[in-house]
Amino acid sequence: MIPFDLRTAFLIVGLLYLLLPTVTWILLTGWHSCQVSLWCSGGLLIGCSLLLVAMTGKLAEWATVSLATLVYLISLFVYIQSLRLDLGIPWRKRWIAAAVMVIFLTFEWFHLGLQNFSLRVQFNFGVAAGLLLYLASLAWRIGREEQSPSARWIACVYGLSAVSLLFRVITVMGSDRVTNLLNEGLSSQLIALASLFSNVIGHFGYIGLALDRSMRRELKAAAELARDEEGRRLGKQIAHLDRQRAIGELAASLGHELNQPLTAILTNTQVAKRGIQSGRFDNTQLTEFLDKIVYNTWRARQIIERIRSFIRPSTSPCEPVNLNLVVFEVAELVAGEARHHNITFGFSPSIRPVHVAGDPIQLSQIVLNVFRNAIEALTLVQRREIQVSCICRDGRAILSIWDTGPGIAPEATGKVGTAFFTTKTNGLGLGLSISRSIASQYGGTLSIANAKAEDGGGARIELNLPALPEEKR
Amino acid sequence: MNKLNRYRQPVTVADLDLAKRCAMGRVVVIDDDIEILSAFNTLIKMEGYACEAYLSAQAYLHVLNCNQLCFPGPSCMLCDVKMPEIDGLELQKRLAEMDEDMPVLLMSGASGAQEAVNAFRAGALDFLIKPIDADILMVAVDKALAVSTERNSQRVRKSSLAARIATLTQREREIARRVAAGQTNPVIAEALGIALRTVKLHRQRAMEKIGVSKTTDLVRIADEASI
Repeated sequence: MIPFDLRTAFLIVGLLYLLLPTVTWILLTGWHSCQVSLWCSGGLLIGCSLLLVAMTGKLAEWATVSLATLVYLISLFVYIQSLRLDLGIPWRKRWIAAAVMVIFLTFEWFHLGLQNFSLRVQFNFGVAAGLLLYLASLAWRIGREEQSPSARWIACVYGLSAVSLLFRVITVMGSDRVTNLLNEGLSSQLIALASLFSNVIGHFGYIGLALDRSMRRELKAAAELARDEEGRRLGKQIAHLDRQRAIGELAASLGHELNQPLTAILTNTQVAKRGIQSGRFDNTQLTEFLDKIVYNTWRARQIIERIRSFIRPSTSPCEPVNLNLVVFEVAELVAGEARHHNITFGFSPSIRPVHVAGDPIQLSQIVLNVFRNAIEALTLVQRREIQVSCICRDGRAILSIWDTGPGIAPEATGKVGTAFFTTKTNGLGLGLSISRSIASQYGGTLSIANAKAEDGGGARIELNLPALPEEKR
Repeated sequence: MNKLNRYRQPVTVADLDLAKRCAMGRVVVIDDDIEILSAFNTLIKMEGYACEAYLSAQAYLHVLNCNQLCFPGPSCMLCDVKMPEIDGLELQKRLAEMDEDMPVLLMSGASGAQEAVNAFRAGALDFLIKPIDADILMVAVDKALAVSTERNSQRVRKSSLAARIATLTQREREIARRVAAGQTNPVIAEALGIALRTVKLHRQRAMEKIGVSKTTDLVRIADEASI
């Protein structure tokens, strides 16, 4: 009882196996990956092998039996490798090649060495069924892990294929007269039908799986992007708050600084007024006092400008910044505080400006944090100096700041610069960790150590940033 | 004593002008901000006083230690509190240790109460908050100079008094002391074992030498100079 011509059936299934992988490949344009390529080429290989089987009797036996078997074996391994790649546990290529060779040679040995056609067919279809079952189990695992019905469908159809092959093994075991696939009855029809199903459902299932997966990946990427964005925004806010806090703590000394030019302005104005009233001032003298007033107004404006530019939320992500200038500005900002504590600043700027790419406000935040730590540490000792050097070496801009304070206690060495670690009674432990994250944001590092004994043995902070090449400024 | 010997005499026209200003009053201004310093300097000179301006307390102490001559007249100091190395309060303390009785005006920008309290405890005459109005500053300077004048004249009187008391003989001094303690002539004569007439004579001589005519004055001066 043969309801359809087996040769035609295998021909049609074989052609479909050539067509559907191609369709899959085209549909999945844009999501091509190693797995997709492997899956599609596996389908093409099965198509080739089925076409070879369909040519039984028309072509030489080595092509329709040996070559078809080899191609089929390879295609199964390609399928398995594709799914194992999805699961993240690929096999090594040379093991696959070795397995294919061993199986194929055993098969050929049954054929040529033992001349046992039945055993050869049992072995061949048994191995194929085993591989298909393994493939089905892999697909099922993916289905379970990714909650994907498509993968479960793939598992089902390949399980069915495996059953159809096993059925042939059982049939062959029962009879002693074994012919080729096209001359068999029920088992061959089952195989043809199972191949058709596995072909159609397998490929469409695979397309579904790939689309599912890419969609999920896009969602995940979007969520990650949003989280990153949120993190950056929060980081910016924290840095901004830290700057405001720093200025707040400097407020007293900044107020004093600002009071100086105001006092000079007031006194000069009153001197000029008295001079005019008593008629003792001529125009030249008056101009002199007006000049002094202008100069002191400018001085006051400088101070305010410095504060304002420091607490303004930073906007520009990256621009060329002269590190020497950053150090100078921040030193001016803390000058009052330093003078109050009798601290001397030693700044040896590099002869040529050292440029880095970054946000000047955030970079000055690093320097301010370091300076304030140094000032605080120096109040504990007699010799009070802060030394700053700025150099450019091997394409890196290196800013070193070291003081003559007590330095970093050995037990704190590992923890300095991590968030919420502080040795101060009123500190939050955020200054240096914020500075670190700013430095890393611009591709640099901030290292904290103790200075050499001849340098005073205090803390030594080194900010290492990629220098901006001359032509990019 | 030393202070009186440090005065010099004018020899040039500039000296004459300076001497005139010093006679009105000499103000020492110390501030680490050169702009403020020069503004105060101009203001004070414009008001006819002599002004010495220093950028740091050290500079002033150095000049003081050189013991330079200056023109006679009242003097006071206007000093910023917040200065590096030696601040205003520290300078005030050191001057007190050196027996300088120059009245001190301290100034500071928006100072804490503690600073002001410390300043007054250390004997500052006034505490001015920057920015300082010129009128307020000049009033404070005038007041300080008046205090200085008062202190100077007291010092002069004390030193001349001391010179006069030094001329008393042993016996005259003893009797003056007893008079100041409230003893009558007969009691003194009894205690010292001398005649009443002699006591009266010594007492008369002592009063002549010191330059007083009434017994109450003798008592006051003997108390003041603690014979």
